[in-house]
Amino acid sequence: MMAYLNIWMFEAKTSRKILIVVLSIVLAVFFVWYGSMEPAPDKGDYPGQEDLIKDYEKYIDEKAEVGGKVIETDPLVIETEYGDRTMDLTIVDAQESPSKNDRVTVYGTVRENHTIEAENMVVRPRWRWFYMYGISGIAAVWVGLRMIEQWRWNGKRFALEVREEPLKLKDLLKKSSSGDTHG
Amino acid sequence: MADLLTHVMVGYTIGTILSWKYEWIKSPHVTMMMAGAALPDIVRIGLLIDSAAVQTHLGIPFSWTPLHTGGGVMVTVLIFAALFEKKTTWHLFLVILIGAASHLFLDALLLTASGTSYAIFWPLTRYRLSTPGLYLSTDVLPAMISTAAAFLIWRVDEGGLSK
Repeated sequence: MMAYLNIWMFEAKTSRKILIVVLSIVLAVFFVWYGSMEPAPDKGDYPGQEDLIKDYEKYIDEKAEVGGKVIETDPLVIETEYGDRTMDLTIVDAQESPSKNDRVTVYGTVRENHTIEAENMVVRPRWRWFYMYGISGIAAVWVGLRMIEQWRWNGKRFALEVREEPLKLKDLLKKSSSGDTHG
Repeated sequence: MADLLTHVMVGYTIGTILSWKYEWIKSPHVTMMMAGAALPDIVRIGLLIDSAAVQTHLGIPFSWTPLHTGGGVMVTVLIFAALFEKKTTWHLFLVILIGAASHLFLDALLLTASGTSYAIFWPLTRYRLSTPGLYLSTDVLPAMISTAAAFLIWRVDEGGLSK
Protein backbone atom coordinates (compact mmCIF):
# COMPACT_ATOMS: atom_id res chain seq x y z
CA MET A 1 0.00 0.00 0.00
CA MET A 2 2.80 2.34 0.94
CA ALA A 3 4.71 1.81 -2.31
CA TYR A 4 1.46 2.04 -4.20
CA LEU A 5 0.76 5.44 -2.74
CA ASN A 6 4.28 6.66 -3.39
CA ILE A 7 4.70 5.52 -6.95
CA TRP A 8 1.80 6.98 -8.76
CA MET A 9 0.18 9.35 -6.34
CA PHE A 10 2.82 11.62 -4.96
CA GLU A 11 5.67 11.36 -7.43
CA ALA A 12 5.67 14.98 -8.46
CA LYS A 13 3.76 18.12 -7.65
CA THR A 14 1.65 17.80 -10.80
CA SER A 15 0.41 14.38 -9.82
CA ARG A 16 -0.38 15.72 -6.35
CA LYS A 17 -2.36 18.56 -7.91
CA ILE A 18 -4.28 16.12 -10.11
CA LEU A 19 -4.94 13.97 -7.06
CA ILE A 20 -6.34 16.95 -5.16
CA VAL A 21 -8.66 17.81 -8.04
CA VAL A 22 -9.86 14.20 -8.32
CA LEU A 23 -10.43 13.90 -4.57
CA SER A 24 -12.30 17.22 -4.55
CA ILE A 25 -14.63 15.85 -7.21
CA VAL A 26 -15.15 12.75 -5.08
CA LEU A 27 -16.07 15.03 -2.16
CA ALA A 28 -18.50 16.99 -4.33
CA VAL A 29 -20.17 13.71 -5.37
CA PHE A 30 -20.40 12.79 -1.67
CA PHE A 31 -22.13 16.09 -0.87
CA VAL A 32 -24.80 15.52 -3.50
CA TRP A 33 -25.13 11.81 -2.74
CA TYR A 34 -25.63 12.37 0.98
CA GLY A 35 -28.01 15.23 0.31
CA SER A 36 -30.20 13.00 -1.82
CA MET A 37 -30.59 10.28 0.82
CA GLU A 38 -33.98 9.77 2.39
CA PRO A 39 -34.20 9.03 6.13
CA ALA A 40 -33.66 5.37 7.06
CA PRO A 41 -35.10 4.72 10.53
CA ASP A 42 -34.13 1.04 10.35
CA LYS A 43 -30.50 2.19 10.15
CA GLY A 44 -30.88 4.61 13.03
CA ASP A 45 -31.17 7.60 10.70
CA TYR A 46 -34.48 9.23 11.63
CA PRO A 47 -36.23 12.04 9.79
CA GLY A 48 -35.01 15.41 11.05
CA GLN A 49 -36.28 18.97 10.93
CA GLU A 50 -35.16 19.20 7.31
CA ASP A 51 -37.50 16.36 6.32
CA LEU A 52 -40.40 17.59 8.45
CA ILE A 53 -40.14 21.10 7.05
CA LYS A 54 -40.10 19.76 3.50
CA ASP A 55 -43.05 17.38 3.88
CA TYR A 56 -44.57 17.07 7.34
CA GLU A 57 -47.56 14.88 6.40
CA LYS A 58 -45.28 12.18 5.02
CA TYR A 59 -43.86 11.38 8.47
CA ILE A 60 -46.99 11.38 10.63
CA ASP A 61 -46.96 8.50 13.14
CA GLU A 62 -43.30 7.85 12.39
CA LYS A 63 -40.30 8.37 14.63
CA ALA A 64 -38.25 11.53 14.17
CA GLU A 65 -35.31 13.32 15.77
CA VAL A 66 -35.52 17.09 15.60
CA GLY A 67 -33.50 19.93 17.06
CA GLY A 68 -34.49 23.48 17.71
CA LYS A 69 -34.69 26.49 19.98
CA VAL A 70 -37.25 26.73 22.77
CA ILE A 71 -39.61 29.64 22.06
CA GLU A 72 -42.39 28.76 24.52
CA THR A 73 -42.29 26.67 27.67
CA ASP A 74 -45.96 26.05 28.46
CA PRO A 75 -46.80 24.27 26.30
CA LEU A 76 -43.29 23.48 25.15
CA VAL A 77 -42.77 24.80 21.63
CA ILE A 78 -39.52 24.69 19.71
CA GLU A 79 -38.62 26.51 16.55
CA THR A 80 -36.77 24.32 14.06
CA GLU A 81 -35.14 25.63 10.96
CA TYR A 82 -33.87 24.46 7.63
CA GLY A 83 -32.27 27.11 5.47
CA ASP A 84 -34.51 30.15 5.70
CA ARG A 85 -37.61 28.10 6.46
CA THR A 86 -38.76 27.50 10.01
CA MET A 87 -41.38 25.33 11.64
CA ASP A 88 -42.73 25.51 15.18
CA LEU A 89 -43.25 22.15 16.82
CA THR A 90 -45.19 21.54 20.01
CA ILE A 91 -43.55 18.94 22.23
CA VAL A 92 -45.87 16.86 24.37
CA ASP A 93 -44.91 14.33 27.05
CA ALA A 94 -41.60 16.15 27.51
CA GLN A 95 -39.21 14.52 29.99
CA GLU A 96 -37.44 17.78 30.76
CA SER A 97 -38.50 21.34 31.29
CA PRO A 98 -36.10 23.54 29.36
CA SER A 99 -36.08 27.33 29.56
CA LYS A 100 -36.69 29.75 26.76
CA ASN A 101 -33.83 29.96 24.25
CA ASP A 102 -32.37 26.61 25.32
CA ARG A 103 -31.47 24.26 22.51
CA VAL A 104 -33.19 20.90 22.58
CA THR A 105 -33.08 17.75 20.53
CA VAL A 106 -36.19 15.63 20.70
CA TYR A 107 -36.70 12.02 19.71
CA GLY A 108 -40.30 10.93 19.44
CA THR A 109 -43.33 10.26 17.29
CA VAL A 110 -44.59 12.75 14.73
CA ARG A 111 -48.27 13.61 15.34
CA GLU A 112 -50.73 15.82 13.52
CA ASN A 113 -50.79 19.61 14.01
CA HIS A 114 -47.02 19.95 14.21
CA THR A 115 -46.75 18.03 17.43
CA ILE A 116 -44.04 15.64 18.57
CA GLU A 117 -44.76 13.07 21.25
CA ALA A 118 -41.41 13.01 23.01
CA GLU A 119 -39.73 9.79 24.09
CA ASN A 120 -36.40 11.27 24.91
CA MET A 121 -34.80 14.67 24.78
CA VAL A 122 -31.47 16.38 25.27
CA VAL A 123 -31.37 19.95 26.56
CA ARG A 124 -28.47 22.38 26.17
CA PRO A 125 -28.74 25.69 28.01
CA ARG A 126 -27.93 28.73 25.95
CA TRP A 127 -24.74 29.68 27.80
CA ARG A 128 -23.30 26.22 27.10
CA TRP A 129 -23.60 27.04 23.46
CA PHE A 130 -21.44 30.15 23.89
CA TYR A 131 -19.02 28.14 26.00
CA MET A 132 -18.67 25.52 23.27
CA TYR A 133 -18.00 28.04 20.52
CA GLY A 134 -15.66 29.97 22.83
CA ILE A 135 -13.33 27.10 23.68
CA SER A 136 -13.55 25.76 20.14
CA GLY A 137 -12.35 29.15 18.92
CA ILE A 138 -9.43 29.04 21.36
CA ALA A 139 -8.54 25.56 20.08
CA ALA A 140 -8.63 26.73 16.46
CA VAL A 141 -6.33 29.66 17.23
CA TRP A 142 -3.92 27.40 19.13
CA VAL A 143 -3.60 24.90 16.28
CA GLY A 144 -3.41 27.74 13.76
CA LEU A 145 -0.52 29.37 15.64
CA ARG A 146 1.37 26.08 15.97
CA MET A 147 0.90 25.50 12.24
CA ILE A 148 2.21 28.96 11.32
CA GLU A 149 5.17 28.67 13.70
CA GLN A 150 6.29 25.22 12.58
CA TRP A 151 5.19 24.94 8.95
CA ARG A 152 5.39 27.08 5.88
CA TRP A 153 3.81 26.93 2.45
CA ASN A 154 6.30 26.61 -0.39
CA GLY A 155 4.39 27.77 -3.43
CA LYS A 156 7.16 26.80 -5.84
CA ARG A 157 7.13 23.21 -4.69
CA PHE A 158 3.41 23.25 -3.92
CA ALA A 159 4.10 21.76 -0.52
CA LEU A 160 3.89 22.36 3.19
CA GLU A 161 7.36 22.22 4.72
CA VAL A 162 8.71 22.21 8.25
CA ARG A 163 10.51 25.44 9.08
CA GLU A 164 14.13 24.75 10.03
CA GLU A 165 13.82 27.56 12.55
CA PRO A 166 10.37 27.69 14.09
CA LEU A 167 8.83 31.08 13.55
CA LYS A 168 8.50 32.87 16.85
CA LEU A 169 5.30 34.81 16.85
CA LYS A 170 6.65 37.12 19.52
CA ASP A 171 9.51 38.15 17.23
CA LEU A 172 7.09 38.68 14.41
CA LEU A 173 4.96 41.01 16.51
CA LYS A 174 8.03 42.89 17.71
CA LYS A 175 9.18 43.33 14.13
CA SER A 176 5.89 44.71 12.89
CA SER A 177 5.51 47.08 15.84
CA SER A 178 8.99 48.54 15.28
CA GLY A 179 7.87 49.62 11.84
CA ASP A 180 9.92 47.15 9.83
CA THR A 181 7.49 46.34 7.05
CA HIS A 182 10.06 44.75 4.78
CA GLY A 183 11.07 41.94 7.10
CA MET B 1 -19.38 16.57 17.75
CA ALA B 2 -17.47 17.17 20.90
CA ASP B 3 -15.99 20.62 21.33
CA LEU B 4 -12.88 21.40 19.30
CA LEU B 5 -10.67 21.96 22.34
CA THR B 6 -11.24 18.38 23.51
CA HIS B 7 -10.39 17.02 20.08
CA VAL B 8 -7.23 19.08 19.80
CA MET B 9 -6.10 18.15 23.33
CA VAL B 10 -6.62 14.47 22.57
CA GLY B 11 -4.66 14.91 19.32
CA TYR B 12 -1.82 16.52 21.26
CA THR B 13 -1.85 13.76 23.89
CA ILE B 14 -1.84 10.87 21.41
CA GLY B 15 0.80 12.58 19.26
CA THR B 16 3.11 13.26 22.17
CA ILE B 17 2.80 9.74 23.58
CA LEU B 18 3.49 8.26 20.14
CA SER B 19 6.55 10.52 19.80
CA TRP B 20 8.10 8.66 22.72
CA LYS B 21 7.98 5.43 20.76
CA TYR B 22 8.46 6.70 17.21
CA GLU B 23 11.41 9.00 16.88
CA TRP B 24 10.29 10.51 13.60
CA ILE B 25 7.31 12.10 15.34
CA LYS B 26 8.49 15.58 16.24
CA SER B 27 6.64 18.66 17.41
CA PRO B 28 5.51 19.65 13.86
CA HIS B 29 4.00 16.17 13.47
CA VAL B 30 2.15 16.54 16.76
CA THR B 31 0.79 19.82 15.39
CA MET B 32 -0.43 18.02 12.28
CA MET B 33 -2.06 15.33 14.43
CA MET B 34 -3.89 18.12 16.25
CA ALA B 35 -4.94 19.55 12.89
CA GLY B 36 -6.11 16.07 11.87
CA ALA B 37 -8.09 15.84 15.10
CA ALA B 38 -9.82 19.09 14.15
CA LEU B 39 -10.31 18.17 10.50
CA PRO B 40 -13.76 16.49 10.62
CA ASP B 41 -15.16 19.68 12.12
CA ILE B 42 -14.73 21.51 8.82
CA VAL B 43 -18.28 20.22 8.48
CA ARG B 44 -18.98 23.45 10.41
CA ILE B 45 -18.56 25.22 7.10
CA GLY B 46 -22.34 24.69 7.09
CA LEU B 47 -22.60 27.51 9.63
CA LEU B 48 -21.23 29.87 7.01
CA ILE B 49 -22.60 28.32 3.85
CA ASP B 50 -25.87 26.61 4.63
CA SER B 51 -26.54 23.26 2.93
CA ALA B 52 -30.10 24.36 2.28
CA ALA B 53 -28.91 27.53 0.55
CA VAL B 54 -26.55 25.55 -1.69
CA GLN B 55 -29.39 23.18 -2.48
CA THR B 56 -31.72 26.00 -3.50
CA HIS B 57 -28.98 27.76 -5.40
CA LEU B 58 -27.79 24.77 -7.42
CA GLY B 59 -31.14 23.03 -7.60
CA ILE B 60 -29.59 19.70 -6.59
CA PRO B 61 -29.57 17.81 -3.28
CA PHE B 62 -26.67 18.86 -1.11
CA SER B 63 -25.28 18.20 2.35
CA TRP B 64 -21.94 18.97 4.05
CA THR B 65 -22.41 16.02 6.41
CA PRO B 66 -20.03 13.67 4.50
CA LEU B 67 -17.16 15.78 5.87
CA HIS B 68 -18.00 14.19 9.21
CA THR B 69 -18.27 10.56 8.05
CA GLY B 70 -15.56 7.92 7.71
CA GLY B 71 -15.43 8.08 3.91
CA GLY B 72 -15.50 11.86 3.68
CA VAL B 73 -12.82 12.19 6.35
CA MET B 74 -10.63 9.69 4.46
CA VAL B 75 -10.90 11.88 1.36
CA THR B 76 -10.11 15.11 3.23
CA VAL B 77 -7.15 13.42 4.95
CA LEU B 78 -5.83 12.34 1.54
CA ILE B 79 -6.24 15.89 0.17
CA PHE B 80 -4.37 17.20 3.21
CA ALA B 81 -1.60 14.59 2.80
CA ALA B 82 -1.25 15.51 -0.88
CA LEU B 83 0.00 18.93 0.26
CA PHE B 84 3.27 17.36 1.42
CA GLU B 85 6.17 16.18 -0.70
CA LYS B 86 6.70 12.55 -1.43
CA LYS B 87 9.38 11.90 1.16
CA THR B 88 7.17 13.08 4.01
CA THR B 89 3.72 12.19 2.69
CA TRP B 90 3.37 8.77 4.23
CA HIS B 91 4.28 9.89 7.74
CA LEU B 92 2.02 12.93 7.58
CA PHE B 93 -0.82 10.92 6.09
CA LEU B 94 -0.58 8.55 9.08
CA VAL B 95 -0.36 11.36 11.62
CA ILE B 96 -3.36 13.26 10.21
CA LEU B 97 -5.35 10.05 9.85
CA ILE B 98 -4.77 9.07 13.49
CA GLY B 99 -5.88 12.53 14.60
CA ALA B 100 -9.01 12.41 12.44
CA ALA B 101 -9.82 8.87 13.58
CA SER B 102 -9.63 9.96 17.22
CA HIS B 103 -12.16 12.67 16.38
CA LEU B 104 -14.61 10.24 14.79
CA PHE B 105 -14.22 7.84 17.70
CA LEU B 106 -14.86 10.49 20.37
CA ASP B 107 -17.90 11.76 18.51
CA ALA B 108 -19.36 8.25 18.28
CA LEU B 109 -19.74 8.37 22.08
CA LEU B 110 -21.79 11.59 22.14
CA LEU B 111 -25.21 11.61 23.75
CA THR B 112 -28.11 11.93 21.31
CA ALA B 113 -31.87 12.03 21.80
CA SER B 114 -32.50 8.96 19.63
CA GLY B 115 -29.63 6.97 21.10
CA THR B 116 -28.03 6.40 17.71
CA SER B 117 -24.80 8.04 16.68
CA TYR B 118 -23.89 9.30 13.21
CA ALA B 119 -23.06 7.56 9.92
CA ILE B 120 -19.44 6.87 10.89
CA PHE B 121 -18.86 4.24 8.17
CA TRP B 122 -20.60 6.09 5.34
CA PRO B 123 -20.46 5.54 2.37
CA LEU B 124 -19.74 1.86 3.15
CA THR B 125 -22.92 1.77 5.18
CA ARG B 126 -25.18 4.48 6.50
CA TYR B 127 -25.93 2.39 9.58
CA ARG B 128 -25.69 4.41 12.76
CA LEU B 129 -24.29 2.59 15.78
CA SER B 130 -26.01 3.13 19.08
CA THR B 131 -24.06 5.52 21.27
CA PRO B 132 -23.18 5.07 24.95
CA GLY B 133 -24.04 8.78 25.32
CA LEU B 134 -21.10 9.69 27.53
CA TYR B 135 -21.15 13.46 26.99
CA LEU B 136 -22.47 16.40 25.00
CA SER B 137 -20.45 18.77 22.85
CA THR B 138 -21.59 21.52 25.21
CA ASP B 139 -20.36 19.71 28.36
CA VAL B 140 -17.49 21.21 30.33
CA LEU B 141 -16.02 17.95 31.63
CA PRO B 142 -14.54 16.54 28.37
CA ALA B 143 -12.48 19.68 27.81
CA MET B 144 -11.34 19.70 31.46
CA ILE B 145 -10.28 16.05 31.46
CA SER B 146 -8.56 16.19 28.07
CA THR B 147 -6.78 19.43 28.99
CA ALA B 148 -5.58 17.92 32.27
CA ALA B 149 -4.33 14.83 30.41
CA ALA B 150 -2.58 16.95 27.78
CA PHE B 151 -0.99 19.09 30.51
CA LEU B 152 0.29 16.01 32.33
CA ILE B 153 1.72 14.51 29.15
CA TRP B 154 3.30 17.85 28.29
CA ARG B 155 5.02 17.98 31.69
CA VAL B 156 6.29 14.42 31.34
CA ASP B 157 7.50 15.18 27.82
CA GLU B 158 9.25 18.40 28.88
CA GLY B 159 10.85 16.71 31.86
CA GLY B 160 12.11 13.94 29.65
CA LEU B 161 10.91 11.39 32.21
CA SER B 162 10.20 8.93 29.45
CA LYS B 163 13.59 9.11 27.85
